[in-house]
Amino acid sequence: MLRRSRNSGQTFSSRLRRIFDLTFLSVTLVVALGLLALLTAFVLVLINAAHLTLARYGISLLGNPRWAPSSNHFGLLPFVDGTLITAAIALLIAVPLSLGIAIFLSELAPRWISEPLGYLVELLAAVPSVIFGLWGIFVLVPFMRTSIDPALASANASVDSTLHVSIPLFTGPIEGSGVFTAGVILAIMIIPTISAISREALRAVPQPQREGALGLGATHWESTRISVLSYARIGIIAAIILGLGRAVGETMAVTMVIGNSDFIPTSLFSQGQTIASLIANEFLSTYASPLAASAFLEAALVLLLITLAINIGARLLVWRLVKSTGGGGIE
Amino acid sequence: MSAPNQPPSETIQSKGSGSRAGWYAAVAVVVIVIIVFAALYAAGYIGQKTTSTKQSTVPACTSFTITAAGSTFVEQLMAEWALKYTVNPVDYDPVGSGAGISSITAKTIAYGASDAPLNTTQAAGAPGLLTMPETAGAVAVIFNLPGVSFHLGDSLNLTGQVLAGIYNGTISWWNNTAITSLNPGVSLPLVQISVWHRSDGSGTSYAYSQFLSDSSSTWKSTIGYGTLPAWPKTPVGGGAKGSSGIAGTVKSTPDSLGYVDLGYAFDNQITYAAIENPSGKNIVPTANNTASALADILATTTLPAGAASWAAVSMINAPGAGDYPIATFSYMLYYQAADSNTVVANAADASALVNFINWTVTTGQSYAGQFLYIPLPPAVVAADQATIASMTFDGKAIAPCS
Repeated sequence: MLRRSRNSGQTFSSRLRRIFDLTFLSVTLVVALGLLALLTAFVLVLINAAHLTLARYGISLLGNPRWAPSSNHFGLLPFVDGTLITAAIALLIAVPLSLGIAIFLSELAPRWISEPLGYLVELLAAVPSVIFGLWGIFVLVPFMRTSIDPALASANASVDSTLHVSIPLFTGPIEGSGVFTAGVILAIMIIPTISAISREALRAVPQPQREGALGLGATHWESTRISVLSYARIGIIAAIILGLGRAVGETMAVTMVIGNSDFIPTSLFSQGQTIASLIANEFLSTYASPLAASAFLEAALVLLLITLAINIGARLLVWRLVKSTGGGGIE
Repeated sequence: MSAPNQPPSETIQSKGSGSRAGWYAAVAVVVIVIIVFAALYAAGYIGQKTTSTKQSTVPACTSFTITAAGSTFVEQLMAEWALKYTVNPVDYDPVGSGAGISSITAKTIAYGASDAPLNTTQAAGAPGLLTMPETAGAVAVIFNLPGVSFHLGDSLNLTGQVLAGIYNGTISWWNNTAITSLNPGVSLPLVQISVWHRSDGSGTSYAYSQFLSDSSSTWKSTIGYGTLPAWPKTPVGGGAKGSSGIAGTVKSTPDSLGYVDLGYAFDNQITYAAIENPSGKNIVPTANNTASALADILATTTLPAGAASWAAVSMINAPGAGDYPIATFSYMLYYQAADSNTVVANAADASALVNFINWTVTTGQSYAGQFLYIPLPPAVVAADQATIASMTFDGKAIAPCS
């Protein structure tokens, strides 16, 4: 009222503002909906491009072990296999290490260590993957070949001989490049991601949680385990899932160290191929038949679905946890 | 904002509302302008080439960037050409021959480069595409055997038959009698051979697998040849991307074996094998014995026209006694009707492209030797120039620019 009497132009101006607000809202809405449309378009385009093999073989390609497009073998099993094995190795190595880093940084280290170290960890998470790949070729592969792999091979052999079994993990010719090395490089790549996010989750735990546990006579470790880790576990799970997502989709670094062999690895030292590295290797290759191109795009569709499944699974897990613990996570 | 701050913030708001509304207006206008232009672009009103400006008489070369992609076999020569050719910028992307063929088929580049000629399916997918040899070279079989020494001037001796056995996994140890019998006096180690092939679609793979097919009937009937053949499983080894990937892997992996173009092997100081030719001689590849292979092939082959299929042309197992047996042409692929390629927007661009291609088969040939590629003989250059002269823009011959 007061404003209007002071300046009659305001009415027009505020109406104009409302129109602009509305325009702004609709523009951002279109952009947001566009994202949804984009995801739908991804899936639809891939399904459409892969329809030849989808119609002919369906998902049976996932169980077929031979990929040789030039002779009409379109099995995707070696790549699904390689993807899952390398991601599993990466998680097995990265999760304990990352949690250790996160707990150290947020619970144990004095501030003058945890602050700069925390920045460094976050910095590592931003290193481009091709840098990891180059480092993998020039440093990690020779190191694995001369030091780590022989040690693992002899450990495997001694376990075999004492238990009278044959564990086909660290056996066969040692090459340096291969499935295990790819898993190791993925682990190194996802450690910064997992530890940086876990550290944030741990730091978000309210101080009274720790003080309460300590006040009840818990040791430092017990307080961390009971009151901090269980409180922050949703955030930690989210961190692990993000790391897993990066491991499954990683292309460049894996292509550079995995050996790119289109066969199911017979041991962890064998060369293999992930779906992502297959795509990196053959994405512009001309196939002899449209069926081959279709099978190739079905591989891309499978990768998209695997990552979607991981994310949906993580969502469901987090929801279930939030529901069962009432959000706080205190048991 | 909490409650006590309300009155002051309101006064600020009323004071600044005029400028803020102006800000909103500016943002909205920018967004709307962008949307309108995007819509106009998508609808084809702006930004697209307009047919009315197409003219076939343009004397001055434009600043058209000649984009190209394909073979890593000719990567070094293409890079040198891009450096030495100053009239127009040349941007060559070494992505592999297979990718070169698909990019020129998709018309996303001005020309493609492939060491493999188009097969029937590929040719059907790219009507009007011309094939023109721009250089030739040897495929070297490279190996890394630390601690194994050879007599001066000698190298590891291998035959096509043995290489086929190594690549299909039947010969998997370095001291297999099939290999040791070819190399008397050389002590080969008791280790498995780490066998490497190209993981991407490759013209080098095409030439190499063609050599294996030519040498071994088993390989011919089970695997055959192509830019991405179905490489069999070997106990050790796998695939690597690009010539650089193979060279890097073999150089850093003990007991390994692979294949790249000769210049690459030479530059990276990787040892390469002597290969038995049809006359039974073990030949270490050089520029000279590859050039003589080319001459002997040309003596018995009539090269097809640019618009015809080159699938039957092969430099494998040349008949001369001193010829190196694994060699290949490398081809430039471009459209006869330059206007059918969306990358070539107008006649001036087409002139620039023609000028460059002409330069590569004339002046450009003098740069081939330093990378151990084979400069094209005059007869091939003449045939190439006939192919270039057949190019048109809007149905008219393309005038050279300067």
